[in-house]
Amino acid sequence: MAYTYPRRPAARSTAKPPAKDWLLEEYGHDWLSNLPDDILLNIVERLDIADVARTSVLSNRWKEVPAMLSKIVITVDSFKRKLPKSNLPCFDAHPNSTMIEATNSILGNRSCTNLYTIRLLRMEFYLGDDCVYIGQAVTDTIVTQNVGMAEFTVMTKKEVTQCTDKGLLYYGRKFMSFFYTCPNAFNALTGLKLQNLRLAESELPEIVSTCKRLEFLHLLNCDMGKLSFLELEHPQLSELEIVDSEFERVDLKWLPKLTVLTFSDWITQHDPLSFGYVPLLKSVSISNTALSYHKMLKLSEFLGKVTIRDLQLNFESEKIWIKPEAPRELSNVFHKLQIVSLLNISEECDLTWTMFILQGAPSLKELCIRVWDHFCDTILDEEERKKHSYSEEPKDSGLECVGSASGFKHHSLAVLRIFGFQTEEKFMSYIKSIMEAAVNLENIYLHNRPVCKICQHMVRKPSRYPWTSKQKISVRNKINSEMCSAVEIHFPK
Amino acid sequence: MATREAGKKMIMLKSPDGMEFEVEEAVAMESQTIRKMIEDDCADTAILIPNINSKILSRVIEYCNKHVPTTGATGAAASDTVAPAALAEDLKIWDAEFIKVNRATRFNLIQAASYLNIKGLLDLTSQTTIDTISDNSLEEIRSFLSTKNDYLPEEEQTIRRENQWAFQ
Repeated sequence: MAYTYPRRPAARSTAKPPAKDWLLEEYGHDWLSNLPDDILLNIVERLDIADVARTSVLSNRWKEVPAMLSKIVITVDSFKRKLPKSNLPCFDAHPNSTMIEATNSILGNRSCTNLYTIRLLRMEFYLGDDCVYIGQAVTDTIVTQNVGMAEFTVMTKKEVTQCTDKGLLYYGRKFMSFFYTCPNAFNALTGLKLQNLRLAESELPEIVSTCKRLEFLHLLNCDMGKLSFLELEHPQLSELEIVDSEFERVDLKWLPKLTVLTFSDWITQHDPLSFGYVPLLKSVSISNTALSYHKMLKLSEFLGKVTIRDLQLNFESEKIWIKPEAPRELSNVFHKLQIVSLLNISEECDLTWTMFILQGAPSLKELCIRVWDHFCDTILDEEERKKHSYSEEPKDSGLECVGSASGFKHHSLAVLRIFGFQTEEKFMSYIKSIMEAAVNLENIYLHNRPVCKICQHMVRKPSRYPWTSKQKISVRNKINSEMCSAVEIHFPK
Repeated sequence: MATREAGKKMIMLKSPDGMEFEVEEAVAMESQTIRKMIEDDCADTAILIPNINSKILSRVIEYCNKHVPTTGATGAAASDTVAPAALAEDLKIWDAEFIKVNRATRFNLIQAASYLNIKGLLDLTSQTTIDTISDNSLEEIRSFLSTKNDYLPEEEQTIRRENQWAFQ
């Protein structure tokens, strides 16, 4: 604990100023308006853009504030909630209308001579013919003023699951016409999020190469036709997220600054990604619901020459889709690996197969396992499962360990974290085998199952998590006494 | 440099009204401004904190003391019985008590947090103002913040018209 030592009796808060002054301080003085610009801005920039605009009516001091903003975030959904319900149909017809007024008013009021830099300009809007007005306002701002980060999130009115192939094509055409109308805005973007677009071949690479400053790109349900190939080359891109795509393969051909990659849910029967020149790639996160036609990935082949530091694999409570490999096969891709998370392993799966990762990654410091049947992600009905090509095999089939584990020692692993821990033989023997191998293990964290607000009532079997301190001590003793170890075992809330 | 508490490094902070506070280096380094001074080796003797009187400075130190991350043996032992979530909950309650101050003190704390660059304290002290603005009508905001409307009626009409979209 730290202490403060005032040298002589401090004028402590008990020494109140005379009542009269205090009243003046408390009620008469406009503290906020009198703050220096930078502090006032720091507070104002936490407000919704509409609230910022409203405050400009307060007084002359406040009128100047919108033109000083260094962070301008205008999102179409922030206007939605303010409209009374009866206006909704009208709102739906022109979802961007208030957003466009806001954009013109906030960006239009910044004169060309404005000395304040815009550090961040983030615009979130719906795809439609009226996007052009937003694109134009942003172009004008970018051309005349100092803009640091500029980001577009282009949403579609229909969500992923509502989009038919025809709908995707329609959105694709709409987007390209928007893109061609304001290339200068795209030229300046540092961030771009797109969704539900089916583009023509070569259009996606064209977008990427036009956005010369792009640092992050998120694609949700975007492709260039079913089972198309995407080749990515970009000098600046550092973060890439591709979710729900129907590509046959995404080739990360030349992305010298890429550090973070997130890739979720693919339909191809082959490796969904190929790694070219990505020397800075540190963190890779991959999720998929493996269906019967999905290939079991061999990480050594799949990751190729990449040497990552963090790896996160999410099995979405279905079949495990990676193949255990021998340490010598993995040593190239895993020798710098420090943190591995294996998430949403179905509760029916065995865990011993995960040992192959420990054996293949000598520098691993932390291993995180999350055992969880997340019912929002899964289909339980047998007929439905067949219809959607879910595998009929056990979810942990084909996971025979390759290397022999006996006598194997790991010297780096310091932390083992298990979410979804249950007082069951499966977990106890798993912990035991990790402890036997990881001679320098320091901490084990045993968490309960995660709770999903939507599906929390659908539990297959009651939780056997140690709740009471007596149960915790019993688990702790069991692990430590059997192993004669002093590893700290935690039960975080 | 002064040391106390089994070799813990101490730092002297001085307020412009002549008060001196001896605090642990780790506590002082909750302020990014002071951290920078220490890292640049500008903190050999007492650090003068301009514009922040002793009353406010002592409250700032009180905040940093509470929010300095616990580390080392005691920290690890504590996390065994007290989960991070529970600690966070405890801090939240403490924060809520801490911020029960009059408006003058709150705005002085805002300025101190801003100068000393203590993000958590700035977040905490600005929140009341943010809530006041986003939850109330203009007239109410003016009255809560004692903001004088210095527009001529026609000026106010114009600026209101220009920002009509924000009132929908």
